[in-house]
Amino acid sequence: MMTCEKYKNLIEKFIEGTISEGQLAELKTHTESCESCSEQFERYVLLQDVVRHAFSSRTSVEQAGASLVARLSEESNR
Amino acid sequence: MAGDRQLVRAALLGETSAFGAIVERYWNMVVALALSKFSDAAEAEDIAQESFLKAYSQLASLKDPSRLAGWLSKITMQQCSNSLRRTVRSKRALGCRATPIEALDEQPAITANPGLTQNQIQFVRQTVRRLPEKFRTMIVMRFVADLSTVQIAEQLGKRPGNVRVRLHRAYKLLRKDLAPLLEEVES
Repeated sequence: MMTCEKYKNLIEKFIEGTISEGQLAELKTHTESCESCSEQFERYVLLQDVVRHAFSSRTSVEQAGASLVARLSEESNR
Repeated sequence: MAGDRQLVRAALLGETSAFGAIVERYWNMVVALALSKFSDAAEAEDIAQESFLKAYSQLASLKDPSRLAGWLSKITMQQCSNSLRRTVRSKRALGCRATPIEALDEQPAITANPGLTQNQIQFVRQTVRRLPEKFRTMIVMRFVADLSTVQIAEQLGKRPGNVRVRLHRAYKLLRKDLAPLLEEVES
């Protein structure tokens, strides 16, 4: 239980984006043998993925960048 | 890879390609912020374009270039409010009653993700839209822009502790409201 407390803190750090690479490796190893932590960790990863995909743009970032640059160049040539 | 500070400096010196790099870096975040207010995907992308054009024209007024993401997010939210006001005005001019954004028809979403159906995408968007605005911005900056709570705090000029609390609250709400969908996707 005490050990899981430590990993729950690491999951929080993962959610906050402040986990170090070493801590993440440690957390992943733990989730291989702990169902409860694995479930929490995977639930977060899935939720993040789902939100990211639902809010993704139809235009690629490269296209968007090129189109804005073209528009700015056109405007400065006027 | 050049940092925000360098890109802003180069863009101010007239290098439009540097501004193009800024657009590439923050396009997804800006579109997601607009999508967190508007249901029409095409409109959200138009707002994103307008937001970047406005940012370009006001770039010299950006006092701290290391807070570029926070500055862009404020411009985007302002553009969203302007666009909403325009919609309400034109509806009034046409004699229509203003429709709350939540009630506007959803446009079919096109996404690279084959794992979510159109209905699921709309459900996720509506669930996020129901969150208070301060939570929505956190979710977009963390999940879409991949900024940490420390970076979000810097960008928005808030205390990291505050951002952490808000992010965890927002996450808890989303986890609860999206639970049926997450189970569906998992199975």
